[in-house]
Amino acid sequence: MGFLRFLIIGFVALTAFYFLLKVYLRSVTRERLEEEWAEEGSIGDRDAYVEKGITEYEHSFRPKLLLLVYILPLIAFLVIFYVTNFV
Amino acid sequence: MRYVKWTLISLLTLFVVGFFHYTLPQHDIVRIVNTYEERQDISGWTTMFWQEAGNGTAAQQSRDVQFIQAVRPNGKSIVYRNEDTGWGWPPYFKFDTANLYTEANDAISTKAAPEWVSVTHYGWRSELLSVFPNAVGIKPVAGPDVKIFPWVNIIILVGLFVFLVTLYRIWQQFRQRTIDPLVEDVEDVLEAADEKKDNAIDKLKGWFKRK
Repeated sequence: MGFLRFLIIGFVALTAFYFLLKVYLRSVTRERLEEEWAEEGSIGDRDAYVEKGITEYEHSFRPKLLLLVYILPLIAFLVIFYVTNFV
Repeated sequence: MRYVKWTLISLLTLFVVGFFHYTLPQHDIVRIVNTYEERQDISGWTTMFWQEAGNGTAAQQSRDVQFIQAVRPNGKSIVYRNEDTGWGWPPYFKFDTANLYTEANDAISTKAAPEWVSVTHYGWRSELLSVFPNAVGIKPVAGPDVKIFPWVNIIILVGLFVFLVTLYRIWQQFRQRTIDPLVEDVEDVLEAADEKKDNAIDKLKGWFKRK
């Protein structure tokens, strides 16, 4: 039972943080694209430029790094578990 | 008001520092002299200084607890409890209580021929409240003067700091990009309404002037 509780609480907390980070990183990317558009001389439709950039960002490798939100705590857990019980 | 504010800030700081001081691992260089098991009737608010029930034991608050007795290099005594943390708090995931008990018994030494060990533990010893730190690891060391650098604590605290800064940045971004524009919209609406009202008043005044 303790294991289930640990698993559920951990999963919910990490998922919450995952989505917070996801929204944050997209927002930062959007801001960067808006600034780029202005720096390039405000040519063409701003929204189209930003949306194109966002699509490119979402297909790139960088958003996949977000999975580290799950992977790093898992590694930390395995290390602590091993060090506490088997070293 | 200023005293209230500073009292609250001090209490909060004390609580946070206390929390970490209790939870993070510490190393004691000691000589183990004995181990024993004693039935504990755990009740009242000091229950939080013991492992919660149901960790491999039945869900009752009267149970046998293992203890490890040790002596510090300066001759003062320290007693640790030896309990599984299991999947609960704090997250040490300690399941090897029986093994640790064996290691502790193996490390027993006399004053004449001391064997120094480093006991990793968390928690506090309070004679008054009968509270004991929980031992999580025993490692032989060269002598009583060995110093152990707290790498783990530094990594955990730095990680936590980075996490808090990230949360703060997320909040700042959310405020800047989502809340502020909304507030500006509302202000615009209010301003427009204000202007409308002024116009209406002017209009009314105009009617009266004409008369």
